[in-house]
Amino acid sequence: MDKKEEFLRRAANEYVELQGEALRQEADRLNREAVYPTAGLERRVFNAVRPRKRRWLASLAAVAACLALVFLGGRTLFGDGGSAPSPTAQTPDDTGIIALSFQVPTGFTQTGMEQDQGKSIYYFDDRLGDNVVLTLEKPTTLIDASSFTELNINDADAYAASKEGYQIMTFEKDEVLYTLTCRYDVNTLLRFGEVIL
Amino acid sequence: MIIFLTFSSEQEQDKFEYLFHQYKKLLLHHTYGILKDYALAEDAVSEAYIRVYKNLHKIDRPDSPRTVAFLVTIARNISLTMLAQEKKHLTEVLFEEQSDGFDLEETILTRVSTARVQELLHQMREELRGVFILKYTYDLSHREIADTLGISENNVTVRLHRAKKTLAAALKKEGFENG
Repeated sequence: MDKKEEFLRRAANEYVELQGEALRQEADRLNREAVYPTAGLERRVFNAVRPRKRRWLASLAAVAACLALVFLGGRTLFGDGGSAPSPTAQTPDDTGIIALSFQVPTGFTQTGMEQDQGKSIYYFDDRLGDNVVLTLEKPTTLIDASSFTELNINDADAYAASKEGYQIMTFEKDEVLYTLTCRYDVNTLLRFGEVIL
Repeated sequence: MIIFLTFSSEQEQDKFEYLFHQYKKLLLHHTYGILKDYALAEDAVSEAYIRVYKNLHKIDRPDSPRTVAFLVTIARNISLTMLAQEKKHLTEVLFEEQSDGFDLEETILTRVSTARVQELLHQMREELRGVFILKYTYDLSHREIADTLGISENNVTVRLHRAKKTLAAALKKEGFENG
């Protein structure tokens, strides 16, 4: 490669590294703060590119199942002012399974369920590729809310956070602790929150 | 036009999904800034992702600065092309010049600071800079750049020539001033 080509290549690469870093930070900020309706865009893009079956669902389930244990201590999410037990509270059946009490949002399909140490874990495929894992359990531990953003969904409290590699939302209803995780967009979880709460 | 594309591996799909979910808002933000119309911005981003899909093999690390710059370059250039088409200002320029445009004394290259070169690139017209970056950072051929940006191969050649000419002119000036 001659010196001029080498110069041009180096200039372009250095420019891209510098701009790219600034853009990455801008993307993080927009993902946290900006509210853009993206459902239409997702439909268009993912209708054009056909997804394959995901292998990471199992690891996401493990994350969801472990969360209540991970965030022990600190501020209590569902202490004073939390949602009061309802007379129609969900109760586990003989097998310990806590059944779903809501209609799955449009675009999602339940693809599996398993029971693990008092937790009922449900799997939902998202038509747009942001699959969801929901864990239901009796709330026996306190969760540290310091790293969560407090939300109000249908006049109920919920707590969401964007973690490394996944999104999480948790709330309590009818004496059941709901923990939802997905990979990409907290708005995916909000759609569940809206039909549950 | 309905296009159905299928991923050849789960890794490819993971990569694409990450790019989509991590950068969709960024791309919408940038394309809207150019097009000032949300529906058009969505068109541009959708088109950009389909073209990114076709260049997935060029992307090693989806979370790298190079990758996000690649996406933004494509989305912004698609927007600029759409804008030009909207305004009917898009003209096909025939490329006749034989030199490569970057006719500089090599000694000048050693006297110019990196920071100044970055500044000059930043000041360059975006249509020119986009092609320049796709060529020299991502090693795309003229044909690939044309397909990615939705412009003709001739247009790519013209833009690249102009980009190098602009940079050379500015650098010459710098060289004379600094010499």
